[in-house]
Amino acid sequence: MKKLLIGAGILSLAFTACNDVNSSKGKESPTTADTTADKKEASAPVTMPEGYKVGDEAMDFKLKNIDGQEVSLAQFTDAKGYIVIFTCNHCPYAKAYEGRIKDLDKKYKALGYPVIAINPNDPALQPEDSYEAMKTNAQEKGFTFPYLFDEKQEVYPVYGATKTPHVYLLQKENAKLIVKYIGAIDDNYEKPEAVKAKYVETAVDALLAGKPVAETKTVAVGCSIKDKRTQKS
Amino acid sequence: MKQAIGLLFAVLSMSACGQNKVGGNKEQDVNQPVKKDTPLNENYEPEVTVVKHEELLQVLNEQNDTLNVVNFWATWCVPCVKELPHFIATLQEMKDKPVKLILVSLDTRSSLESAVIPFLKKKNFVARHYLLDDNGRMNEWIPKIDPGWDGAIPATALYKNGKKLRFDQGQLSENELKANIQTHL
Repeated sequence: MKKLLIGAGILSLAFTACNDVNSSKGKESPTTADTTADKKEASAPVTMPEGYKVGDEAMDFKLKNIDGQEVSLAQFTDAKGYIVIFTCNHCPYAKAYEGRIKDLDKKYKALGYPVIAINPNDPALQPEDSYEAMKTNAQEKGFTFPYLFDEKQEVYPVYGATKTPHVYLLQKENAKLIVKYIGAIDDNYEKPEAVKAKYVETAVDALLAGKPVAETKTVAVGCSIKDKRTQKS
Repeated sequence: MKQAIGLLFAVLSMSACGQNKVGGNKEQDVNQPVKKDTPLNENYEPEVTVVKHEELLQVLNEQNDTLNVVNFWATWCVPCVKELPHFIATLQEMKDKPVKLILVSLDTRSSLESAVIPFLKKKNFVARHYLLDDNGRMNEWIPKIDPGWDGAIPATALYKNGKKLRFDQGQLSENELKANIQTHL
């Protein structure tokens, strides 16, 4: 809970900073910080929160799914945990992993670890990642998992996602969501047949066996998350 | 094996020299501004060397008193493609100084001829070009470039004599890039 509060605190701080970029008076007059004009101009660089580390408590969220329904993790009462994947339509890495994300969901949903996919991109910067395009993509590819839209871009900074795809494996522990693994799906986006290490599968298998996750963090190249607040002219 | 790597390195350095049309050795390169080589060459034929990360790290380890601005990019990466003209322009402005641009494409090997080379040619992006064809070992080489890099591109590193002086994940504005270069020249 503490972590959650801190996370939310950092997030609101970051957003405040964002809105205050153009006005040092922002703090004294919070009413003006919410005007549309201020938001539009607040495209100067802001420091994003650091995001979660393995072992941190993660926050739940409520985001709109492609079917128009709001989805939160708490709805999945039978789940032991979640494979949260920040992903999108346009990115070649995300595209390359679509089939493998479906496979993960197919294999682990029944075992208590469903895939929850979230598109964190601003469609104004990447039109292929619009909500409408998400629906089309999910339908065409036959997504079996929720594909949520982080429309306000409030969730991904708290998690600390920086790119697509970016996986956060969560496990329920005493009604808390604990981050168990952060990183890539496997070690070869380009050639699925040449994959040597299936990072996410290995991690979920360890959790299912009641064992600690051996490799808790990996890195891979991904498409940076498109956000006006981190964009440079 | 070591010899083979050494040889490869020599070949790489030579091809890099050829690519920049800079005659002579590296010291000359530093002391004498490049005269013949201007990015306004309409007939620019980009040469892209395909490397594994070990070879790239050797390039970054060059002991030539030159500040190497190393940018990781890809043809499909919108923010990368957006910032590249700043890099080209800034380095052109500073062509009399001991600073060079190394562009490392993370496009796939299979798209080298179909996408990367035509793109560089069309844009007239003169630099030392590499394509890092090492997608099965990202978890190994990304931390070697920078322990804090989680793989999002664009990313830019400054190296001099094998020492990494700065690393930035994400887009750089033209002013930020200039300031970073000035600081470490």
